[in-house]
Amino acid sequence: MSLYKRGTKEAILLNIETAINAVSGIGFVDWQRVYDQSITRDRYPFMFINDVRTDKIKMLKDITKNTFMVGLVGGVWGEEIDGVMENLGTKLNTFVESIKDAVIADRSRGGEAYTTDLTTIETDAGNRYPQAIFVIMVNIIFFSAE
Amino acid sequence: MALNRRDILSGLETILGTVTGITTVVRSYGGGANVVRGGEEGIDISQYAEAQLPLIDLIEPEELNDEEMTSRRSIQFLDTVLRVYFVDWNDNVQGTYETLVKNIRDKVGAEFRVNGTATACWIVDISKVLGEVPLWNIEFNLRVKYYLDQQVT
Repeated sequence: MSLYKRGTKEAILLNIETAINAVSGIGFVDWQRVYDQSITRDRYPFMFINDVRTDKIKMLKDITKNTFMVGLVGGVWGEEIDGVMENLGTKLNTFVESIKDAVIADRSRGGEAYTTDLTTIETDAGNRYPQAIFVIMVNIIFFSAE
Repeated sequence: MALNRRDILSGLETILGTVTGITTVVRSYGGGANVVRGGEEGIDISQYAEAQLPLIDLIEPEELNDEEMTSRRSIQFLDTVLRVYFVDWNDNVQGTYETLVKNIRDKVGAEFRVNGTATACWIVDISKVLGEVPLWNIEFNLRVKYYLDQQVT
């Protein structure tokens, strides 16, 4: 485990955004959104980075342990290629894998966090065909002065 | 020389303050604002800053009478706990643990009579490392033996 001092939520969220923006083929990244209404088809695949919850434990006067939960909501759109619909499940899985790899490539969030773990990955049941939605919950532990 | 609890604890506090690597020594009692309310005895470490650590919390000891002797003298024991807090950002703190344990053991061994205020003083046992990143602690059970002269001095 790498050494780590203090971090902030804002820097951690920016680090996640930077990591996701670097994923090949990403169409749209935004913060604090849950629903994909008003996102046009050309902006798929998309990702929303949501600040869900922070729990704080004061360890010392100037060290607080933060357990920070981030919800990543994403979606892909299945395209018709040469008259054949592509496999939506495969497209979704490939995109989820890319996002997952991008997020955990640097678990220290550029030195801002102590660790980053993906706790759950859920996908929709297929009732939004040709769209597919997924949610990745990310648990980040970081330490702050307050 | 009449030996007494007050001088022993004061002497112990002074000696522990000279342990290599120790920044702060605090004595804690059964109550007061500095003590965890409703919890175990000892200080509320969240009131201290990182720069004040490593810190030894010298918890007010239990006093035991071992043997009554002639002339109103008796052998007494003071059983106390030294809780040593330290900060280490590594998840393997074995090196820091060993250094602190050695330094405290050496100091208590070298000051066996607590600068003349006690008959003997020794570490009974030492806990494993407790806590989590980055705040850890170790507990030392310390026993002090002294002869109490029960006559008014």
